[in-house]
Amino acid sequence: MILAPDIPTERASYLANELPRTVEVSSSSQFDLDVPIEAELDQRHFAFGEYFLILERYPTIAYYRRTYELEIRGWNVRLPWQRGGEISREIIRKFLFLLRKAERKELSKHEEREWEEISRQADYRRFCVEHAPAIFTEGRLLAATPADLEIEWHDGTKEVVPRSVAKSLELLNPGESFTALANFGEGNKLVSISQVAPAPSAEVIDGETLWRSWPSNRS
Amino acid sequence: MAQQPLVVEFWDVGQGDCSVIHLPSGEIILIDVGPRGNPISGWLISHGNIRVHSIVLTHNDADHIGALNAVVDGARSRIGTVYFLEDRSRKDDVFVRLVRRLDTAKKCGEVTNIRRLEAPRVLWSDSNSGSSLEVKFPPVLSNIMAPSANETAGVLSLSIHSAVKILWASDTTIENVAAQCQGSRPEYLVGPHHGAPADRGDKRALAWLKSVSPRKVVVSVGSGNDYKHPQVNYIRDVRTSGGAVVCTQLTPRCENKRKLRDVIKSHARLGLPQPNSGFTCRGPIRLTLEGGDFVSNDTLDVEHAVSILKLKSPRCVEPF
Repeated sequence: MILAPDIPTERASYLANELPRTVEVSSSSQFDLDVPIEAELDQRHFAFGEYFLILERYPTIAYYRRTYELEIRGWNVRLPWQRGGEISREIIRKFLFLLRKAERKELSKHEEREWEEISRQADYRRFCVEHAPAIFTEGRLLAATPADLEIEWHDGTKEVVPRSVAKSLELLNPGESFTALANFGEGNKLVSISQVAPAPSAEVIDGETLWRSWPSNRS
Repeated sequence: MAQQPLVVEFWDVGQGDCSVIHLPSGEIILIDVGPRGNPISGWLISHGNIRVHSIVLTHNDADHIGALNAVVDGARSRIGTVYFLEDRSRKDDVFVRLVRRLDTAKKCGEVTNIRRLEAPRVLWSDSNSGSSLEVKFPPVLSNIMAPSANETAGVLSLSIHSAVKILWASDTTIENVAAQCQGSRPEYLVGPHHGAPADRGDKRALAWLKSVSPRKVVVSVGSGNDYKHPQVNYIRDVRTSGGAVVCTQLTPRCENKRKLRDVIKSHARLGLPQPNSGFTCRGPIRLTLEGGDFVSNDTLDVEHAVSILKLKSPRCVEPF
């Protein structure tokens, strides 16, 4: 999913499931097997299944030669060397595990410190926006051109969206109101819309009639 | 179910207001729901086990109620009472749509009750913690007579053993907050009007603020707001009156527009969703009732205090 149709965003790298490429940043004597070799992972975009996470800096990987393990620095994740291709999976697993605990206010003191470090590295806003559930929305199709559709949302704000984003709105005639499920991206711009259904227009609802049956504390 | 501590969260919803009160029973109260597209409705969808005791709409501008239809849908059939104000013309298109949505929700059973927000009224109370949420304003007459929507905006207080701890001032004036809550000395005052109350330029504004004496003023504001919120003279008056100001988002008042960035990453730390626009200053604030006082997250407070010193002109701390 892209954040918004007209905002240039960093393209996702789906090389995440390939073996990681690293650039060595520190080394030690070949005889000192207890000191790990550190390398910077040449990758900030991590994808696994439906999840996609971007880090704000390249993570550092430490290679332990005595135990044949690698560690993602600051993430408290250790893996055998032969599972190096699972770094994306492990990063996303750790991120989601701590996020769910943070949401439920269940982090231990130790996990709180881990989460502090990890959340500092992650592009959390983008993660939230891209993984937010579609929400119920109402609006009215104002106009349609060959390229764009103009929508007035229920709160009175107007937005012009490319047809490619709001294809399902082509179901409507200009002037018609609708309900739908929508995702909004950067700057609250429409990213996707589904389950569009025509709805009665606000204009056909007489406010006064509606108010007559309205509950009141005063009565 | 075991009783949980009373928790109050001032959410960062961009330009707009939304607070979530987590009650000891596990239910929540929403005070305003923020603008369209903010993360509160998605949060309600993903927390499908939480019942909404009530939704209190203090003001019917889009930055307070824009997400209402999504919230009603997201928390379907889990909403107790919706309190709302009649604060504008019955011919106002957007307002009629709101009323219609609530009307439909009531008829479908998505919302149990709909009540007008009128003072005096206790919306919720708990004898164990001695806490109560009350409507301080508007009474019926003020609501009817108000010349504008802002002047009938709701004022709410959360008290512990009759001592006012938190005041929500919506979009009202400082004069009105002073009239309703003189001498209350709350720990937190939310607003009014996103740090730009209409009477901020009045010569008596400082005196009114002093008569209320909030310890902290929470300004729920969006980085991209076009109204130049928060206003510098209001921040100055709050500080002169002995209070501190914290803003949910960073604005060009404090940093060059091109250099705006998240000051701290408080959303992630609190496990709350970040909105799709704006840059965090203090971000959301979570207060937990402990021993009769509301305490916030010390680590985040310290981190924020250190980080804002790196800004170009942080109005909440720089000398004036």
